[in-house]
Amino acid sequence: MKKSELIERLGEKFPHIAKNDVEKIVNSMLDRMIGALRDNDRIEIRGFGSLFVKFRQGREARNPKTGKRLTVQAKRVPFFKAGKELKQIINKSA
Amino acid sequence: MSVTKAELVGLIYRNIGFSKKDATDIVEAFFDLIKSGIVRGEKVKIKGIGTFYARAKKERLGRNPQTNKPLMISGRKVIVYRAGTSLKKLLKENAFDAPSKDDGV
Repeated sequence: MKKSELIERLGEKFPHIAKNDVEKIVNSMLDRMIGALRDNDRIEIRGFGSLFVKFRQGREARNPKTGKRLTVQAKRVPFFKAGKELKQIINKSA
Repeated sequence: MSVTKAELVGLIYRNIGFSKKDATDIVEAFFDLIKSGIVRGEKVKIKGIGTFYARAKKERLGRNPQTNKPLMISGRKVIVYRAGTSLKKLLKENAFDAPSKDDGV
């Protein structure tokens, strides 16, 4: 399922809301979520899980093929931790 | 401050101008649809955020770290999240020098 399909299914659940409004709503939710991660804020959705940013320090590494030393820059990476409810329902359906 | 469902509801209610009820229902339905997609075994790919899907883990022999006794860990499903390229890039390019205390680890 991709974003466009998600919007479509959402639209079916809310027939009184115009499709482009549904799209606008989804996009503004996603923008807010992305903006939060950009600013190092967490996203915590009860029943779903949380998204947050981890820091990776820069380090010296080697290219395993050539054996050359290289510096890996410090970076931020996004992480997701599934919420309790999601973990439960996914294992119930197993 | 972390982003919660309540904040997303407020965003839709105030900025886009929907009733509080619609805003609440839509936010709830949005995450429910993602969840049910994952449960059905679909890969849910949200542009700008990333992909969510379930992966089965086999049962394996583990150990109770407190008693040191070996025990079987049952097979289970776990949620896998792969960050999307655009999000990875955004975070990489806007690298912060010093992590502040209250950031998620």
